[in-house]
Amino acid sequence: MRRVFGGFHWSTVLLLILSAAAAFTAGGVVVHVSSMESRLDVLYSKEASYSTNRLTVELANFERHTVLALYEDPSYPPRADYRLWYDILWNRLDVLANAPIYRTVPDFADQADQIDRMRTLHASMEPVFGLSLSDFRGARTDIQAYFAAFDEMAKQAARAGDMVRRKMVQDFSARLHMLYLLLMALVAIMVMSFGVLLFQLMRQTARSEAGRRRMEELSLSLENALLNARALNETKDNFLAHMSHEFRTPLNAILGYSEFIAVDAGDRMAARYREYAGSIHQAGSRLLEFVNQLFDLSRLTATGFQIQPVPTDVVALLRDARALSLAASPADRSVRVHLTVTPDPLVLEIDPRALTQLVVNLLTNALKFSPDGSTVDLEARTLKGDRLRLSVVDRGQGMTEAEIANMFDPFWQSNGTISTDARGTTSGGLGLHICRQLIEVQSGEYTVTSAPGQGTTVTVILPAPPVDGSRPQTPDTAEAPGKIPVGNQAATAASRA
Amino acid sequence: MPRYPMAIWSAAIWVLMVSAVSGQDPDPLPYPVGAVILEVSGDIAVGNAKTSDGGWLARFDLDMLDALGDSSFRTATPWDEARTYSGPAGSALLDRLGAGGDSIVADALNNYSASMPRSDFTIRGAILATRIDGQPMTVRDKGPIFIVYPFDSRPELNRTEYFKRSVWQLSRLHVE
Repeated sequence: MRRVFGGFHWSTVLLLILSAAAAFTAGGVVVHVSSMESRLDVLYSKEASYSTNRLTVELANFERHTVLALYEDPSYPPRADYRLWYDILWNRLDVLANAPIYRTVPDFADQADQIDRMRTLHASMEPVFGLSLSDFRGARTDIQAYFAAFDEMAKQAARAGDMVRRKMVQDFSARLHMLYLLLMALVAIMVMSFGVLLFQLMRQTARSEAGRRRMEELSLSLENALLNARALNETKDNFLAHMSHEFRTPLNAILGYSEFIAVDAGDRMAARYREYAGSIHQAGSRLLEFVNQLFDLSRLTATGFQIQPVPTDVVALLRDARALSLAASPADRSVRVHLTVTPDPLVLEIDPRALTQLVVNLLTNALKFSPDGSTVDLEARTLKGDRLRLSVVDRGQGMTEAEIANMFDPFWQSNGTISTDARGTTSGGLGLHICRQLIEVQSGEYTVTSAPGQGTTVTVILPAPPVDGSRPQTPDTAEAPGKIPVGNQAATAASRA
Repeated sequence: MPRYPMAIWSAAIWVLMVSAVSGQDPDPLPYPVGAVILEVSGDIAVGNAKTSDGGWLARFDLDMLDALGDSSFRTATPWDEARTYSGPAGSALLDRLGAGGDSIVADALNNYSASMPRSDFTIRGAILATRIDGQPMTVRDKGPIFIVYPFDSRPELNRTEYFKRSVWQLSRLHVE
């Protein structure tokens, strides 16, 4: 929803403002029109029309009472009433003459003029109407002339007023008409604005809908590609695992027979051929080591390494691992491994196979790079939070930071610059990569500190909860993958000596 | 305590009866001495004459109206500039006569007639003006009585409705 309403185009906002302004103006127009009507109502209905009508009524009453008095109607007791009506008419003419409309609206000038003339005429009759009743009757002709003239003037005033009023009403309705047209235009603008707004909103919604559909298609195809890639990878790993087995069978034959030639048939052969047999055995050993590591790696990646922590006697396990590593190193090497375990004895919940392979690989690597007569320290220590810290310290040539960054990558040592290093290693370069995999599947972590000429320290920290009171399981090192190269690596590091 | 209730009750009943009788017996309206300028009829409790159908008729001269008090104010009207109008409040007249009813019909000397709700007198402050700028009003000057609303102090009254109820040359009121 936010996407639909959040992305208003500026024109939409403008339309909203416009329609709000139109609505406001329309409201103003309505208020103005109604106030105009009420103002006109007051001015015209009350003043002009009403008062003129009352003038006619009061004049008729005055005339009636005067006629009754003139002709001595005996059934008309209050004989002086004509004088009251004279005064009433006087007041009416005053009111009309003072009415604001005649003073402020120029169109009423004619009517105002007539009213003034009526006032003058009316006032001039005051002496006549002030006479005693008998004298008053003698003035009959004057009175008749007065009424005739007054009647005429009143009619003219009414006509003048009517004309003005009609003109004003016309003006007013024309103005009203214009205002209504304006109002209609505003309403039309409002309606159109809302139409455009609605259209924009719908278009925006449709657009975002199309975008969403395209994203869905894209993610679906990405998912398919990922599945394909996974399937391909799996095929590759299966192939590698299978091939490793296929490699080892002929290799064992080569190794066995070359050793046999070098040792048993040595006396019957020229020294030159014995050397050749030694070279074949040495090369075969390297190849087997590499194939074994390849096998381990492909097994790890193909099936995933199943970690099964069981109560394990860490001290015994590390001793076995040391023995395996030393046995795998060339017989002419005089590197010692110093083992420290704190505390001792130490029984932890950990996968013995993974731990053995990890330690053997790390130690084998350390031994390779240690100069003769030096010592490799293998130290195990428990940490707070149920963790085990392993550190392998060699006194080799050490590495630069760039080398440390790469050392756990597969085939790193086959890199040309490294293989020509003074270490002279020709190992397959998969051992440390396997180590990293083993650490990662156990949710462990590792650090490497090293500097050229100062040796290398590899520290691994693995989660390993302690075991209380249960008998440790003897590590089944016979099954450990680390054992596979044993006895077949006698000549692996011979060139390093 | 148990001895006195009787005495207390009888005293209380006496007080109530006396006050009720005195409340029902209003001030009698005096008879007009000068020219009668206003007659009030209809639903009134006090009067100084009787109508043909036997109801009370209250006839007022100028002095009697002056005795009802003076509620003067200055205001412009649609027919005149600002003037000071003096005379009793409409409500004072209704109170004096113990008038009931919801509406009042005002008749004028010029045969004009208008009807207004009682609230025009009790709430909207209409007065029965007998003087303009301190001078008694003649018929030529909308006299003798002019019902005026306080148009200037209450702008909401500036409507045709109230202009039509501003009866001048008033001579008779009928309370319904």
